[in-house]
Amino acid sequence: MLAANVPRPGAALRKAREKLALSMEDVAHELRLSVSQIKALEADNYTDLPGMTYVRGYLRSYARLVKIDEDLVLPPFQPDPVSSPARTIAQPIRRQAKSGDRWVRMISYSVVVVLVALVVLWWQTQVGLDFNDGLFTQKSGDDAGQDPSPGGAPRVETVVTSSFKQAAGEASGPAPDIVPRSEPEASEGHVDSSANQQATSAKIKSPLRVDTDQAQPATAMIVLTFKDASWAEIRDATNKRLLHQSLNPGRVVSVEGVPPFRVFLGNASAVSLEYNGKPFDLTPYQTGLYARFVLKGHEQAQ
Amino acid sequence: MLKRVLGIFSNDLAIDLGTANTLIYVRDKGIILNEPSVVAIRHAYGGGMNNKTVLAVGQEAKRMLGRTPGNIQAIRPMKDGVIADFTITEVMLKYFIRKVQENRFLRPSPRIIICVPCGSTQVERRAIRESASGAGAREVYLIEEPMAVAIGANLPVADPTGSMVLDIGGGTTEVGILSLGGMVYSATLRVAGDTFDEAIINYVRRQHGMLIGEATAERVKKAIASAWSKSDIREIEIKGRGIAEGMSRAITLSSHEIYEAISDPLDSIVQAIKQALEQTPPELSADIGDKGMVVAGGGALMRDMDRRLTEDTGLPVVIADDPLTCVARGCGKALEEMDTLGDVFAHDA
Repeated sequence: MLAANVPRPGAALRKAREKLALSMEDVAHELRLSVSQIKALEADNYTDLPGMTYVRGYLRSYARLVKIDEDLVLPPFQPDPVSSPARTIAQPIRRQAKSGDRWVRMISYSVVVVLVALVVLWWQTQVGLDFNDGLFTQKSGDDAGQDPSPGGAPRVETVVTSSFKQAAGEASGPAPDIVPRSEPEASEGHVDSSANQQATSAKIKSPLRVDTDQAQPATAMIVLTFKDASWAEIRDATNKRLLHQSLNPGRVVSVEGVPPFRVFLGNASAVSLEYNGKPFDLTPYQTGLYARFVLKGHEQAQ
Repeated sequence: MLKRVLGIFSNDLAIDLGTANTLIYVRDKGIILNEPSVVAIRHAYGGGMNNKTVLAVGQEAKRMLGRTPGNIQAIRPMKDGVIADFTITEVMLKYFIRKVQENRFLRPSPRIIICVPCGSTQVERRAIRESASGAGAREVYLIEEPMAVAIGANLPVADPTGSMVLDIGGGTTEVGILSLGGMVYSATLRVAGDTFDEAIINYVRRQHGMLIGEATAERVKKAIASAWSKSDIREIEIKGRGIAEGMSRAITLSSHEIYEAISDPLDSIVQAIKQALEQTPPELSADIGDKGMVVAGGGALMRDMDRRLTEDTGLPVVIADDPLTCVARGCGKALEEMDTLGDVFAHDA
């Protein structure tokens, strides 16, 4: 229906038609419409006409035929795509969710984001841990992944291996007084120790002295002090890797095991070695940067 | 509720990728782009064919048509309603899509509805689909032009009543008869606005011995062309290059001459309509005879087009409101009411 404020065009059209001395039949013939449709147009009765699109077209053609301005008979056109009769279509098929649907996409994206966040979180918690064959099992809590400051107290790390435990268990038969001292250390091997070097060396000297007092020492101890970053690898008599790691400056590492040891140091000039509490000169073994040598059980403690 | 929330983020587009003009309808905003489908390409000196840069797209590029130096080429990538130059079409679409979504921070990835001529082949449809995908569309829907026209003109496409539409575009003329949301008959005729321009160029060359360009021919057509022999006579003065003397000169063309020039393409359009009516089932034919035919597209703006068609076909002829944007509005409405409108989209075989 036309808006109420628009002048009804029927009367104007009829007047213009009569002025041109045209009959309804003439107009109907010219526009190929039926006389009843022309009557309906002149009476402004659009209920029997097919729809506003057609009515507007008929009025426009009629106005042009009787030579009056089409704007006078037509309300201004306002494109209004949202209100359409096409909304009433029968639509029996329910829409299925497809992978392309927006909400399906958004949910999958959010799942992926959550998964990625979880993986990053897990990785961050794992970064501080060391995985060197399970040999290095102790580390002070505040040492995680950080270099100690050069002026800071050097830390001593004690490595106790299962081979040592076995060796100690077998060899300590004749010297039962060692077992109670070394066993607690073995059991505490996985606990962080922040003791300073002096304290630890004092602590480990007593069994060593016992060892040297004994005819054949079952185990020996190597203490490595790193002035600069270096690679270190130490294997004991059973070819078990006691140490296999790159170490940062300032670190002090002590290793216990059954001699002879095969030692390899990547940056030998930056490492000082104590064997059974005594300093050991590395210079004869240095070839270029690295040093490779064998420490036998009862010798070389210079 | 969920839909409404998601609707805030939606940037769906309906595109009338026409031979002459490209119109883009943005959901909830209406038609916000209407530019000629023309791209100007600059070839770098000595760079061969691969060294091309896009100089201008749309209105600006159209002004360059026929006025370019050697290293610049103004191209109309669409021909006869389908893609003639795949790469350039993609560039043009990308440009237009970016233009209508320039405020977006993220790279737009809209759902796109594009209308295709109903007579286009599967290869041509795939080309249009892939062009739109290449331009960043997330999903591409194709809709046949007569359906878009009918929806755009608010015809009762879903009702069990016949509706007939005629869309005289730039490259193709489409005739369609629709009922119950589907096409009963459709035909594409590669005779449309461009053919009228060519006919005018040929007529002026033949009758006046003068060469004129496409732009001039189009100006003549818009100013004085009439589709009906009994229309009032109008005149226009144009300038071009004389064939014999090679000098610029002016002539005056009358609308009667232009009618004569374009009568062949007009006749073939009338023939296409008659052919459609012959193929129509009688019930639908009665509906159409009662209500008439809706005409849209740039051709509908030609003076007395409705009178000519009424006289030749015996049908009441209704010119759609705002015929140039009718297809884009129809595409837009199909986009807005994708869920309720039913399966009005064209499908690949």
